[in-house]
Amino acid sequence: MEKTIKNNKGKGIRIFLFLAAVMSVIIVIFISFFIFYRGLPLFQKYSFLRFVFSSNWDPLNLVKAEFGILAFIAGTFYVTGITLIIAVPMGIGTAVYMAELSGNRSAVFLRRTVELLAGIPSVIFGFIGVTVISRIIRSLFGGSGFTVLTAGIVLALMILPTIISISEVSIRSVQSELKEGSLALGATHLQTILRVIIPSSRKGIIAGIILSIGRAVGETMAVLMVAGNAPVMPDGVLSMTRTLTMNIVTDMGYAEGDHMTSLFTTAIILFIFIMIINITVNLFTDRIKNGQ
Amino acid sequence: MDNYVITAEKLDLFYNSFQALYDIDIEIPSNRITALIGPSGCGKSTFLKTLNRMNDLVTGCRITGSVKYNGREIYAENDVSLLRKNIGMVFQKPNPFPMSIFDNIAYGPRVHGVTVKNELKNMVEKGLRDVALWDEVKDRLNKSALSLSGGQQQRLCIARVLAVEPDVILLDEPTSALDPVSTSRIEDLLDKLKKDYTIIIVTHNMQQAARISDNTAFFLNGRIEEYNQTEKIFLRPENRTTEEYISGRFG
Amino acid sequence: MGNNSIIRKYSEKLILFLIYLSAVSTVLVLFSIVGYIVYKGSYQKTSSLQNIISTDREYFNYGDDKLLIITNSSIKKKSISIIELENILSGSIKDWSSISEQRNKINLFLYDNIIDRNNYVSVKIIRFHDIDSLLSKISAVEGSVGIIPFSMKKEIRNKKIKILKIDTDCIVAGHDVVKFENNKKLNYINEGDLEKIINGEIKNWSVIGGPDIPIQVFKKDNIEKVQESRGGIAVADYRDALRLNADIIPVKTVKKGINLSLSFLIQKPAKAGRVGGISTIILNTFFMIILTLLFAVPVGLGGAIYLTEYSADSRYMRIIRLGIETLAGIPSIIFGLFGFIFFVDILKMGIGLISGSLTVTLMIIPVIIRTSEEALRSVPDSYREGSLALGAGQWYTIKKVIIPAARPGIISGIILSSGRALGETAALVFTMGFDYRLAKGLKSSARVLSVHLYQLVREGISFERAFATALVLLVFIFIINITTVALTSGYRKNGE
Repeated sequence: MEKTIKNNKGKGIRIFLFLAAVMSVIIVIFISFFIFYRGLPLFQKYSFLRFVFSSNWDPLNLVKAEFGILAFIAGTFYVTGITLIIAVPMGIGTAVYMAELSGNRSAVFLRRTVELLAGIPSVIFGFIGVTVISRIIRSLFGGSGFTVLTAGIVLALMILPTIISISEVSIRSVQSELKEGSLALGATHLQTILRVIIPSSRKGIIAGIILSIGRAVGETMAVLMVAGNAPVMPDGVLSMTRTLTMNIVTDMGYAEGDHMTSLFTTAIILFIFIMIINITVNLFTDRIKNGQ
Repeated sequence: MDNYVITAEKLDLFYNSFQALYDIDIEIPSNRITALIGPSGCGKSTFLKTLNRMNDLVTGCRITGSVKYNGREIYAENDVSLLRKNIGMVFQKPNPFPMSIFDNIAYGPRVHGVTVKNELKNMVEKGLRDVALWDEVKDRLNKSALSLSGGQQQRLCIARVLAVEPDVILLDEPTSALDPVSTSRIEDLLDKLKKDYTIIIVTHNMQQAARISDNTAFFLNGRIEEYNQTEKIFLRPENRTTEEYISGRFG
Repeated sequence: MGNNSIIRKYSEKLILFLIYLSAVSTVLVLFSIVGYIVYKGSYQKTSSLQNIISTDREYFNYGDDKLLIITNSSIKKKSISIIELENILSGSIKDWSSISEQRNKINLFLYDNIIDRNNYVSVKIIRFHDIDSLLSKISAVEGSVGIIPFSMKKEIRNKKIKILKIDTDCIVAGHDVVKFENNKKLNYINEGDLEKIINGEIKNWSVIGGPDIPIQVFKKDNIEKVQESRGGIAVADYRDALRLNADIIPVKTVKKGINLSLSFLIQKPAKAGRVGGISTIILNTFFMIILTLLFAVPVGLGGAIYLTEYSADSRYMRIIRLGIETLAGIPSIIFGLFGFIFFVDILKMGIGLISGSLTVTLMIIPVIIRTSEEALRSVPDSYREGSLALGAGQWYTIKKVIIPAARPGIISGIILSSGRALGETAALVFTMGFDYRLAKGLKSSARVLSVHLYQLVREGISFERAFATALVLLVFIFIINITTVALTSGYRKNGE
């Protein structure tokens, strides 16, 4: 009798633990379902192709509202591109320094620095963007200072920790035999780094970069504060822009009807991008785990 | 009369406060195979790594005494890259780079500034022919070197060393991870190579030392117990411990 | 060949330098962000342009009367300007918030028939004909203001009454000094320069960025003469200057002082955060984090235990892992939208503490699972075997042996994830709202620190306050970071 109670208790715990573990899956399904459920109805009234390939965003027009988000897709790509141009060399350089060139102490110091940088909330990065970076851009290039470039710089600072820590781990995981083999052939340390170590850790580094693209594409508050939020096609690094995430937040407070639906539809597009990125990262890390 | 390529005198080596080599005196003749034998931790690999300064990678490594290559102090040399180009090294575990067969062999010449495609091609072919790998891989030079078998990989690594045109080749137990067939192919290869190169090989395998080497040094506890012609070492060792080790009573 | 190797040598040095530079700039980025916020958050230097200059006088003239302003000693401000006084008298300023950053209401008590104008109808003025009862009223009512004849100053004996000094003067100048010429115009005079002008140390307007005209200093209130003059300047009563339509030059004053003060931390915010502090916002933030952890820790820890200790059911493992990875990659704005649809709308929880906390819970579950899993996996198998071999059940082993052994790692993971919750903004804007008052219940809207910072910046309310808020946020993040590092390093040491 006592044993059955115990068994039942064990079973109950097991079920609870299982539910806790599958909770993530359930949440992902719920999120996907509700975003699509609220966003898809727009296509009953407005063509999918126009939504994605038109840059005419005029949701409040009473005669004929337009919901083209091409400009925001372009803005997202544009800002992310600038971000990567800045963050990738800087991040890989720092990771190489930490893993290969620095002493133990300075590597630990750098790691703490990177951890701290990773912990700073996005709204503070946005604030720094408003008070410092946009002012620098303004004094250098004129204009408002709220540009694609400003957003790119702010995002670069934000994704730097991701690139650095993932790159450092994959550089450190390169077998020492390869390094020794290269040095024994008379290659210098730098030649060894550039020609053997970085190519050998390429997969990990790329996975880190893709992961940080996901961060950059999904970031909202920081870009919202510094990108200028103009709903038009960006025509240069110094033009104001609006990204997909910004489009969702900007009108959320007051949108109604189709306008509101179109914001969820924007979220669907964002969600699809993020999913593509997630799956790519997963494929990459799986391959690394399988040792290919 | 032998011409000595490498000479060590009163060489001591420390890892921080631990002394790994004591008072090493040795002269290594050119175009001969010199085998370094001894039980694990006796210092033979450490001595080998001293010769191309791979010990530099170990923090806290310190050296006193003299070790010369062609009459010049190895540890006074400014250009470590040049030293390592002249004194190549093959490791215990085959360590091809994760790139194509061609790029593996061309790696050394490239880091030493060769960029002409044809020149590289010739060097790759020569290196692969020297290790008798050419016929096996000539159709798949662009395939990953990791697709080769262990024995092939180790020959590739030797070819990679040959391609930088060294003078001395150091081998650190090159066959310990290989099957007997691959081992004998590499032994044959070494025998051929000694015509053009000075070869120093660390081995655990007593028969291997007896088969291929001209001279043998027996290391024990960081000292050279005995150094002589291989024949003499194996047949009439002067030292009791050498005899005990060779006959398998310890180690 | 020799040439080549020299080029190679130098290009190597250049690349090494660039690598070094990137590492140094990463460190510099962090230190400048942190340093800038610490500096601007703790120290403020604000410049402002003011028409009224500070004269440190106790009385002011009103018609033929010489009057004195007194107030309850609860008011911190030492002086007010004549403009502020006019606004108080006209009723457009009803409390102290814009003058003294205090929230007390202003009650106006006048003696007898002074300032007898009938156009102040919108404001309630109580007149006393007996000075003693006026004074006792003022000493009793916090934030009250009294105006009495200057001659009655000696009647003030109560320590609860203080004299409020009043600034009435401004700087007037000749028209040719301030007119727009050569694409520029003298917009203001620095406070320091003003003194030098009056002393005669600065003799020409061009020295301070004005036109090339010699300076003539006139006596006080010679407004007409200054207007007619070339390069004239004088101190004058602001009301007269306005009446005579004189050219008033603003004075630029620089205020230095502590930004993040104790009162900022303990006062309640008011007027969209323009005045007061952030005490309720800090409390709301704590409520949100505690609620979030309350939901997220059981689920996250439970999931981690299942993944490490019950991995026999490996057919679900791939899907579960994929779910966790995917969840971790979803941007916070999507969580915000989901929370808005699901918790706020469908479950009818409304925009408030509970909806926001549940939304953030979803975000930090993957963090807790990952960190707890790592901690649980680092517990040696010998512990499990030892306990199981003694006949203990699996759950008993987990509860009594494994979780205690992994505790530091688990706790540091929980702290780390509360850092994530602390910094979250986008997911909370639509789910928890902006109300900066103390949350009264689970459904009441509550503003957290990050959202407050965002609002202060977006609405352009006050950069000084934004810096102070950012500093508070940063200090919390620091504490979290240091605690995590301390816990995990202590943990590692124990493990060795």
